[in-house]
Amino acid sequence: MSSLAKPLPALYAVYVLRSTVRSKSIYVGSTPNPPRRLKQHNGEAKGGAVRTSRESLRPWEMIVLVTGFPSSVAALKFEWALNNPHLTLHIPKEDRITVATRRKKNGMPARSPHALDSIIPNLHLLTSVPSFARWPLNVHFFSKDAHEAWVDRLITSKTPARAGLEVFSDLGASADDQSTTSRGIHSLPLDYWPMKEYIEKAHNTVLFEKQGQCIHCHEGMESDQGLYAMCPNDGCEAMGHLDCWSKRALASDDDPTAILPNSCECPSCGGKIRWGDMIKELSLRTRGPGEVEKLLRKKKRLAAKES
Amino acid sequence: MATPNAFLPSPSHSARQTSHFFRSSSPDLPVIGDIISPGARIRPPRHSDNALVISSDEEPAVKGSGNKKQSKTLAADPTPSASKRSGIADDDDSSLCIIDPPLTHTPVAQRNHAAPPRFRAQSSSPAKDQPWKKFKSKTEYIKGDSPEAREAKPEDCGNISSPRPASDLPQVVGPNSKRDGNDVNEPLGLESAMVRRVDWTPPSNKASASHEVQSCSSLEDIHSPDLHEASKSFEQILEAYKCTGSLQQDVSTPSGEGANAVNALGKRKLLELVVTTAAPEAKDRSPVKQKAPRKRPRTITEIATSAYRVPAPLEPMPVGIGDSTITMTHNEPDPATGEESKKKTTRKTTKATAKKKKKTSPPSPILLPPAEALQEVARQDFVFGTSSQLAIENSPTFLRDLQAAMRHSNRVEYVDLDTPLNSDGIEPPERKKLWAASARDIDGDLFDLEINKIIERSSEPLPALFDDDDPFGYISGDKKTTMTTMNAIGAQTGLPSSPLINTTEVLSDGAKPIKVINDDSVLADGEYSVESPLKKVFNPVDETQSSKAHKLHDTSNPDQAQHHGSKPSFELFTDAQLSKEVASYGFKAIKSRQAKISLLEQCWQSKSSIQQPPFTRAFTTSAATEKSALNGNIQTPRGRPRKNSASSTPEIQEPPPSAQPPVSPSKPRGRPRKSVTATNDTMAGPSKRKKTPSKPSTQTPTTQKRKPKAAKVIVEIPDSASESEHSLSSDPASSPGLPFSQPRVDLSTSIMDDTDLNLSGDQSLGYEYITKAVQSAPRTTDPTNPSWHEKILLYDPIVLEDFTTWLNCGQLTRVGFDGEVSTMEVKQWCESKSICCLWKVNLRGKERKRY
Repeated sequence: MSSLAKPLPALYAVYVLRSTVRSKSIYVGSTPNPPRRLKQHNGEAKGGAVRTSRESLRPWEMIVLVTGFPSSVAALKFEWALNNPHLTLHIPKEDRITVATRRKKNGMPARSPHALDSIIPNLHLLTSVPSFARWPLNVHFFSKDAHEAWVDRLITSKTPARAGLEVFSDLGASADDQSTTSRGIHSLPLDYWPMKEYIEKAHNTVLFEKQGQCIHCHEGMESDQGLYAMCPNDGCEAMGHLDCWSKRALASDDDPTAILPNSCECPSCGGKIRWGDMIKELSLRTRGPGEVEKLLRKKKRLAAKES
Repeated sequence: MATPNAFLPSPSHSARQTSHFFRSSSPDLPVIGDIISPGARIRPPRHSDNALVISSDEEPAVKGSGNKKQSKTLAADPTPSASKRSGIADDDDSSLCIIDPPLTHTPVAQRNHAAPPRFRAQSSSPAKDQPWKKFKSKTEYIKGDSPEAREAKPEDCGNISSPRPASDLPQVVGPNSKRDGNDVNEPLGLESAMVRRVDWTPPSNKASASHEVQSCSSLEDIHSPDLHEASKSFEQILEAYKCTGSLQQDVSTPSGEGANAVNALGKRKLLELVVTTAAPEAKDRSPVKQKAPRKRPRTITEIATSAYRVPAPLEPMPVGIGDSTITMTHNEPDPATGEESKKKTTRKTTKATAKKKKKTSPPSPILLPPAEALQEVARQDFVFGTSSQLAIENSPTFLRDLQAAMRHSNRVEYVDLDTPLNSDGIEPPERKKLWAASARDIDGDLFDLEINKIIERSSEPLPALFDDDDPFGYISGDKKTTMTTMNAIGAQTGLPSSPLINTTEVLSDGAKPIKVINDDSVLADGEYSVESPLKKVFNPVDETQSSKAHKLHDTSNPDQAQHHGSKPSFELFTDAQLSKEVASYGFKAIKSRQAKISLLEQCWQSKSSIQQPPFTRAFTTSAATEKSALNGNIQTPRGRPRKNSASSTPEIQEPPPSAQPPVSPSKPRGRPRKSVTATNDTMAGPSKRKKTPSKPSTQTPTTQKRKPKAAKVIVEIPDSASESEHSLSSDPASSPGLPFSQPRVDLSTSIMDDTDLNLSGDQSLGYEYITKAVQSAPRTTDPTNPSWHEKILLYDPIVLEDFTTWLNCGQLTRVGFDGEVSTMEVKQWCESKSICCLWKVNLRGKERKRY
């Protein structure tokens, strides 16, 4: 497994696809590249889904995007759960919203067709379910009614979105102009480019073995002798053992039994650190040297051009 | 017999002749008359006779000519002759041979048809030469009938067959008499074939046929006088017939031509007639040849259908057919008439040929209407196909029989396997897979033996049982536990508990606590849970069984409360006391107090279960194979239970297998289905074992390592649904005391249903240990190989099997947790912590290569 370990994906998203022609047609999928996938669904590229292949329902639009999945496995789990809210075991019985009323020929409960008013509550539910609650997820809304449904859900359920879940809304962009790459699903970063500063900082620190001491336990950190995470905040080069970071993060966590932190506060700069961001950089640095090099090289080129 | 035999061959001849008649139109009349009137029947013998006679006469002449010789040879072997014949005619013969059987089937009709034509044909032939000769010939035919028919017939057949088949078409031109001679030569079987031959291969036949015909005609001429001399009386008779026949022929012939030949023969005949008229008899030979090619144009379909056409069109035909033909027919029937003089040679020959044709056509009636033909075909054995295909490998039913036999054998096997197993007969035999069946089968046999043994043992006093049944040393431990419990209980209940308690006493004690537990259901041991339901069923039985046990039950009831109190006593014990007791059972020192208590309780329960038959019964069943929980099937005790055999004995005694509630005998040995477990509460019956949420944990896919005790202790599967909850208690791991026991159950069961995972205090305890173990593990020194904790922090998907293995290999112990966790427990833990986890094996059963 270690050999197969991959860094956290720059982006992995579970999306809710809706037909712009028939708003009742909803599809749930996952992809590391939403724009590409959307093209596939719309028939502009090869490899769509059968359920979205009907020409009369095209074009499709992504109304909701859940991003930040730490792995493709995690995204697929979430996708399945969102597709099968009546079956998934991740939803406690008492919280389950969707209950199967029919059964398929094989005896398995049949799922009712997706609808916006069922999928948004389930989305809300799943993001706060223990199995997924501590994943560094983000929710993006690209449709007004979807966002309204989300808000309604928050009100009716009287439970706020779980801690650590970042909700974005980019309303109107999808409908207006999808051509612009800066809006809607096209605004989502598909690579580690936004993290380049952070990556470069940590990379250089490790490269020149400047990690020094763990900021938490003050033990020396020898290069290549462990996993050392660095504060992502600008200008802060606080570095420490991964478990030390987790201890600090969990110390302030409201769940004493948690083992995966949501976020923590940097003891050095005092800034808030999202655990997922830090892990993404750490995993990329330790598991994706090629990616890092590519990123840094690109940056150098850009710098050269600028100069 | 002689006559019929003679008839049989004769009809074939007659058939040929008849066919000729039809074609010629003139002879047709007699055919119809034959068919309709009884006189026809009389005729056939005549024909045969005539043919015979002719053949005898002809033979020498035939010998003179090569063709005739061939015909003779053919006559000797009717069927082979056909094959010997060269050209299409031979083929026809073969086909004819096939047709023959129908003739045999309906000899009478054939005879009828055949007989008249011959007479006419012969008559016509002589008429050509000399009218009186015709009469002679007829008489001769008649003569031959009675005595010589048999002998002569084959010869006749041979003669007839050879010339006719070849010459049928040519014969039209050729003299009738010749053909008759030919007819005589032909073998019987060939007759039907003849007609076809003519149709099929006119040209080649013509040449040969012409020669033959000539020879035949000469022969006939020769014969005719002989015949005439031989039987005049017959002649008269024949004449009478002929007249009638001629009248009939007038009608029939036109019809025959109209029907058959309108397309082919009718017009052609006219042409032929002209030709023949032009050329005298000597020319007949040539005209035969010429005519033959004319007839060639006939299509197979025409020929084939002509036979069938004949009957229907008979009536209308006469009008349609040219007068000439009709006249021909008239002439023929009345050979002596003046008309013949003109046309004698040519027309007569043509007529004769026509007659012959018609005679040949009558065989077409032999062809029979479709219905009859089908019948005949059905009777026949012949098969269409290549010779290779005709080779019979196996009877058509061979495959079917083989398959049926295989099925039968299979069924038999299953039955054999099943029946002994289900010997109880209460339960309908469930078809078992071979794998299970084999196992079962073996078990069944042993099982029965064991039952007997057990029964014997059961008859023995219980204490004896205990003494006997310590093979594992397990029971001794139980005794000790009981002892200890007794002591504890004794204080409370004041029951007499001697240090070494009598089995009876022990039993009583055990029973009591169990019952108490049931009521409270606080500490749910499978046994306890079982009791309540089981008691209902078993108690009556128990009474019958052993008075002691029964008494114990009675006593136990009042004491239940006390016993119930006794259990808690474990909890009241100090750690030292607990450790002592645990050691007394021979177990290793256990760190966690909870584990100790649970273990002690289990020991205690096991004792009690042994003591009380019903409990034991539940025990044995579940523990041994888990096959049949409810029945407490005797089978189950086999494996390990033998040790417990003592305990099992009471069970067996109590309910005779039949008396026990019907439980599906076949219980899957493998893991219980997760889904099944989920439903356990609601479900009652065979699935109960699995159902019990706590129990299924034991069977969870990941290999759980049970406490040392677990191996020894047999996991009981409670029969009743109510028991299900507590059923696993017997299993040490699952015992309530163990923190993880419940979570296991939930996990296993929950897979399909979104079961409510109750994170009870026990679970949380277990989780705490896992968390502790994970977090306390040293951090890795190799970034590429992070520790489990670091993997979790990195959001790595956790492979449950690996992680569980790591936990169970000293990590939990290091943290202070005695026991092991199942992968399902670990999965629950992971999911409660938002840790992405997955199985090593994907849903397709393959190890996943990507994460």
